[in-house]
Amino acid sequence: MRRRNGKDIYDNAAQGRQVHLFREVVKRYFHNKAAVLGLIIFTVVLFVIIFANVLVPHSLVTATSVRQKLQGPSALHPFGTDDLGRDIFARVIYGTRVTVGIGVGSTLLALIVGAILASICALNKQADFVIMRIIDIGNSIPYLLLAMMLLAILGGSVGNMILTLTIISIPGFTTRIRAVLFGVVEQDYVKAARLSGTPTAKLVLRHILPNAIDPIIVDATMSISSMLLSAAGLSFIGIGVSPPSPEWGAMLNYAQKTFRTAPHTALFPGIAIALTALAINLIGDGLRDALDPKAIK
Amino acid sequence: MPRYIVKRLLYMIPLLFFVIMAVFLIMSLLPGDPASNILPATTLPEVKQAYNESVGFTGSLPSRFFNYLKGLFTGKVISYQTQKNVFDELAVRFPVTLKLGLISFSLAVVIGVALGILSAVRQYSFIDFAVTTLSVLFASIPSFFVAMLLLLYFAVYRGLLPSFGLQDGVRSYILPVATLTISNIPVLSRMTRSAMLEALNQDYIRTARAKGCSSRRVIWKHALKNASLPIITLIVTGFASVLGGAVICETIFTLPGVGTYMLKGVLTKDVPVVMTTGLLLAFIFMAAMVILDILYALIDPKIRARYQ
Amino acid sequence: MSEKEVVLEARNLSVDFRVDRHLTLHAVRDVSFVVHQGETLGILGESGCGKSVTCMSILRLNPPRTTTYPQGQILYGGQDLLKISDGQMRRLRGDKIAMIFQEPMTAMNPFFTIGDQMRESVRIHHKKISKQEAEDMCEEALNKVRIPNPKRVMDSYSFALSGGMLQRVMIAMAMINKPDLLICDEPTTALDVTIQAQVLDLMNQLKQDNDTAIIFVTHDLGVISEMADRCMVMYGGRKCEEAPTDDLFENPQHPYTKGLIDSHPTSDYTGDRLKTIPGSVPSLKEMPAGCPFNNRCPYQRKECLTTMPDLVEVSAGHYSACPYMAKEVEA
Repeated sequence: MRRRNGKDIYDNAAQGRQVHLFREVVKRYFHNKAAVLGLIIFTVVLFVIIFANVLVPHSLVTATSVRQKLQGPSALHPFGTDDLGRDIFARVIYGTRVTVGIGVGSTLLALIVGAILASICALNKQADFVIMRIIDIGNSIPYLLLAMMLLAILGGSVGNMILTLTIISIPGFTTRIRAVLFGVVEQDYVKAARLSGTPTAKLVLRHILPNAIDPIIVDATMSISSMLLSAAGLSFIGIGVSPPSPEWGAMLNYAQKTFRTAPHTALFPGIAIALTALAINLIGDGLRDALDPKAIK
Repeated sequence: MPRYIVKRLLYMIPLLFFVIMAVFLIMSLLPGDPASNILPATTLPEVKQAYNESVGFTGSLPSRFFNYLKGLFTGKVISYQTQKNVFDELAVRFPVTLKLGLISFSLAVVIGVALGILSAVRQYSFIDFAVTTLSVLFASIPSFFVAMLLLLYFAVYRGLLPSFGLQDGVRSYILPVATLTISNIPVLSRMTRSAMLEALNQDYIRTARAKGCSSRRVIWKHALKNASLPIITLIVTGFASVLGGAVICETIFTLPGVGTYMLKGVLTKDVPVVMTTGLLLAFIFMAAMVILDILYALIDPKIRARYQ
Repeated sequence: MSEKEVVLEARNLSVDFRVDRHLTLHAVRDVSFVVHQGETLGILGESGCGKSVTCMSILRLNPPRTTTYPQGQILYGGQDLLKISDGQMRRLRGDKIAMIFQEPMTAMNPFFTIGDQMRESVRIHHKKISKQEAEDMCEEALNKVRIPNPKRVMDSYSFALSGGMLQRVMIAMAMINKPDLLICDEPTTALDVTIQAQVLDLMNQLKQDNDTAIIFVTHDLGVISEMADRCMVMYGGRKCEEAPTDDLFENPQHPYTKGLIDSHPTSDYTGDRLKTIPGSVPSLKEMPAGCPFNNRCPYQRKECLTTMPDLVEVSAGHYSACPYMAKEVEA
């Protein structure tokens, strides 16, 4: 019988599989037309964020002109002007930085804090009890009320908006990451690592988080869009980012008094919010499907 | 089971206490007293003090807190701003928000759950494609933009419906209800679809098919019962948050609901108003959670077994 | 065996899974077999060899949207099961042809009592049977699988019962309408060895009592040698050998069968290293051309890389798809 070196085969298979898995995820993502569309729209959004000043000078964001107020879309003002004669195109373009920045920034902050709190919960029972009771309280305060109060105290700047959204979403992030981590902690390889005396930090960073990362990535992606929509909503009811700033929700709030006669003042910022949120949602859906362990064979 | 429910209800008491306290502490970080916030700057100090006393703003922070609690139990909480009883105001405003939330959310549940089941059962069909595409699209449009578009078309262009207030009775509710319904359908249909797909993938669904159950029986009896837990969770928590989130809809249609009341309270630093509306919403949320636990036990025998 | 009536016959069955527009996987290719009344046909093979798909095809339980049956017939009672209407198929399932599965713990719906689900099995096929009669039938069926206190079991939910108990319930539920054919897809794999033996005994007993035909799928040689009258070995979606069970174990004619038998510890196991088959079962996407076993086969020839050898009858009732091994062993 021709013998082959069995060990080699298995090692290669094991290594090959890892590469294969990552490639498989990427391949599966790009097989999903909606996910690719989301990525394309988001790439355009990123392009606008980076090259805003190439597209249109920043001074136009606040430049008023009474003579040119409430004009419809034209070559000079592609999205028209508002009732102070400000160029809506410039405001939407620069608003991308504000709105997307708020969504991404608050998600990242909440993610970091949530992951730390959840890791503490997963490792220590007493701490878990205390943290979960505090989260119970946090969860019971209506989140819009909490956001309104915090913004009323802090004042309506972009930084405060990020801080507020971070605070109101920490309970949710912690609970969801905690649930994922508890599932991982129960796995045999984590028990084995713990029994063999792996230091706590290494246990969390090497064994627990990497194995819990997939659902967390999907969760975080989805939450960027909900943060963005919440930020816009808060600005819309007049307690978010204050008016001169071209935040999209604030623009819509401002457009409330003009959109009945000049719909373009509301239409373009509204479409901008919807398109950006759509792109992020599509990416999130695509990632979820591509990372679904049941679908990867 | 009854013992567990009593335990859950008792747990609500400290939780509610901490919620009021947290709201009170956060609000007390806002500078100034009611009189200086509301009366003109030129008002005499004596007048200011009299005003503060008349709305119960006297003494130290803890004593004000306990005064508030006392007011809560005697049904007499005075707004800093209007000097009226907050309970009277809520008695008028809460029904508006409740009606809005109840009607729109029921509609959203019926439509969203039906679409979710339909698209899961016919996975990969055209219907599934249409439902999932529209769901993700509408999940991305903020509710206030939906409201503005509806207003623009039905109130401004066609002049069919009123665009603000409650003067037109039922007709006044149509656009706000439509707004909330449209913005709640996508979440419900997406959730229902994935719960249903998950349920249809279970081994026991294969068993049911193997023993000759019709597909209708497999879907409506075997799969739906399993899928109902996450769906009901979303319905109950979603309803609680619709009441809290109605503020955006109430703002754009200028409806006299709890949301606008709360917003005005925050903006005018009207602590009793904010605390009482916050307490009301927190209570509804917690009650919803207890109801959810009871529903879980009614539906899932595994959970029921744990209580016995 | 041959005087017994044929219950089910598969002729040149092939099953394809359509993954997307560019990719179709051939899960089962050109498989034929016959099951007689009162006979147990074993289907043996590693995971991924197409044995479950073959079984599921009989009741058309493969995912309907992606599965196609490009050729072949499955004949039962003069009908081709691949052609009959969905309604006709549904009436056969659980009544004339029943099936039990690998994981008893998840095969029962945890939201309904055992009794609910057993009564459902009776009443979807026999509408005239009253609730009380159905109840009695269930009780009797549970008694037959030697479940103590059947009334209590019927009132409990699946999560309150052990795996062995549940598998017996599954068998009782499958046998309740006295089917002509019982398909068992690895029914004992998830059970402890002692429980496994009890369940196997029980199945043999039921088979003798009812003269039911059984298709028994497993990867466990020990189990199959105890259960099957005749055995068919599958690899890579193809049938590579078929023989009466004793003959197969004593005189395997296909290198894959031989590999399987050599790698199985026997009771006279002396502590030497067991032989293994090098490599692993290729996934359906990477299935080699020609004989699917060619990349792991010690008797590989040039011809194996291009053509799948035909099944040839090497001795009475013993078919093998490898003409080369026997020659090489003799030489």
